[in-house]
Amino acid sequence: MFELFDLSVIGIEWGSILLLGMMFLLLLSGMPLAFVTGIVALFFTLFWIGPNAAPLLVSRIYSFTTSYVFVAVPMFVLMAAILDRSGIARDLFNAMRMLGGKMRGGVAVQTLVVAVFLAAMSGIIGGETVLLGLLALPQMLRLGYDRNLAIGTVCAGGALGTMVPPSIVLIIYGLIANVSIGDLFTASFVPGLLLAGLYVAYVLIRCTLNPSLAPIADEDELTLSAAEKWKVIKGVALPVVVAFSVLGSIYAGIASVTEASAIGVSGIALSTWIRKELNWQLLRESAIQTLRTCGMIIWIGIGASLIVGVYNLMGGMQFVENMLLNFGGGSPLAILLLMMAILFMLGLFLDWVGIALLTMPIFVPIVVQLGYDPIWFGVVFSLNMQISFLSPPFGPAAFYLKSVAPPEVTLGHIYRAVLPFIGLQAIALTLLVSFPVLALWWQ
Amino acid sequence: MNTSDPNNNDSKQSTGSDAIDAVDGSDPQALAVRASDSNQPLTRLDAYIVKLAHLISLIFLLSACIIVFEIGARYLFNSPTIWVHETTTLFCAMCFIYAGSYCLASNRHIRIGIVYDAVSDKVRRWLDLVISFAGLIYVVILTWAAYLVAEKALFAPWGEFRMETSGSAWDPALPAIVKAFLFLVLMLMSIQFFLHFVHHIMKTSGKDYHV
Repeated sequence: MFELFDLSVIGIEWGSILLLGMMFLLLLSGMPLAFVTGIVALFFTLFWIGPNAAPLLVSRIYSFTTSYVFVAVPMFVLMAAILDRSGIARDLFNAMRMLGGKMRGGVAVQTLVVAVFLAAMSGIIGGETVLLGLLALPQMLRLGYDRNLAIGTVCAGGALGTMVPPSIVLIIYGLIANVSIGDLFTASFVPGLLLAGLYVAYVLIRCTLNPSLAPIADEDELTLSAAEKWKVIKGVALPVVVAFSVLGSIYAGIASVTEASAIGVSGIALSTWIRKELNWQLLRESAIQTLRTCGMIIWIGIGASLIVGVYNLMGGMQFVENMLLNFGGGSPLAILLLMMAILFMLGLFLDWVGIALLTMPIFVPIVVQLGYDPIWFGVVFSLNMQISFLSPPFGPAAFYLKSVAPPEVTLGHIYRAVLPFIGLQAIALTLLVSFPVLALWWQ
Repeated sequence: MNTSDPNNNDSKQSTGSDAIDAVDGSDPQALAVRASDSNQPLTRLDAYIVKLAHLISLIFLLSACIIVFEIGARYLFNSPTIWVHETTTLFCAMCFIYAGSYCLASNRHIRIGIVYDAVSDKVRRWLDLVISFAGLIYVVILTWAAYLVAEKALFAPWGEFRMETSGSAWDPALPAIVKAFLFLVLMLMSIQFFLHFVHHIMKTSGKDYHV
């Protein structure tokens, strides 16, 4: 009976289980992800493939760190770090007050619009959630907005950074999937705005149905003198221009992604200088923050590229590919849904860097084989990461917001508040999967 | 993110602003007491590494400047440079590699603290011991592999010193420098993990000891 089985197939099945089990145990022990993947990769290199493969792994690290496109990652992180430390977000929020003003639910809509602008100026999330938590949440609560609506708006808005270009998730995806990052940015633009639009529509509908959810501010609080208006507009005009010129230069093909990112850094630095906020302290803190974020991303990337490489040499890719391709009778949609379910499950434990680097090398070839567009799948992936960013129990958005929210807001409140917004993300995801043209209309 | 001073959490500078930093911390007060969150350097070597990191991180600012310089040279003065691409790649690659050592020194690598934070101090010490030992093995083997790679990049097969170059028009010794630097940083990380391991052994055996 057993001779019917190919021994190597049994080998890779048990090998995969062993590999996953080791990773899971080590992760639970509190070992950093970057070292967990690395040590498991080394274990299998030494005992499955043979020690001669080790220098091959180092060559992978070398090519990973010396890609020119990767330089865009620290640049966009640096841009976001400077932005977060300046008063630009605060002034942007005040400027939008002139637009939102007397509308029912105006402050929530204003928060979402500011979130889109901030997302267009930085590619990472977390910082934006914190900023909005500091700026918008106290104001909405003070005006008597429904607590759940206010919290949900801040969390969902703060997470938009991964959907609206320039997004670091998309840069990393582009590097793994070997597709143009400029194309990814173009493709994610409409779905990102669609998602923000769904949030705005939801807020407006809720407020119309139940006006007590969003009281309107007093008349005198809304009126700004002409001088104040001018001051606010002057403070935000340049950074907004910078954000659009960064994206514009990528779309128009004037600058590569890396060059555009450096233009963004100098543009934001120039803006803060004009605003008289630029000082050595701010630059130093932004730089060290960049080193920290890059250290985390790159070393997870190194570990992940080691384990993916080793797993590939073990024949694991073939194994997973066969398993996935036979799922649900081989229907592309069923396979796609399975992949998204896996992404969702992983999102409960890992953050997007780990998920992208561990699963995308396996998933992208399968997606291409199924006949889907890898650029479209990149947008689907970043929308999936949006969901995992909000999802309880480990959705980072809740923890970011909790760290700056008034003490009476508990984690339980935040989890309840984000649920409708997760529903909206699911709607956007369904739309994107049903109508790929949303991401690919420009092709 | 200044997690060591919970009272400072409202001020602008201390609010986290990158995607992954401070992923946990359900409460600003609790933030500082969570064991997996401590950013205090464990050993003296770690403290030096953190200090040096502040200097090295400035290279990112420099890289941004020279990329902008290149764009200006190309579009305004119509004289594109041949060295900017590879110089920034080299700078950033060295920063990325060093950042691993820095994140290790200040405990910034992403980890899951569910079990680690819940167990007793005694169990946690054993976990620390296992983690630093496993980490030590990982980086020691990588160091050995990096040595083989760096040796190839620095010496010709017949033993003569010659640096591997990138083969572009400018042809800098970028591969040789990055590979050698990777070896050096991995060696540094081996020492870091070794000192962590010693530190945790001393703690487990109940002695008050500082490396």
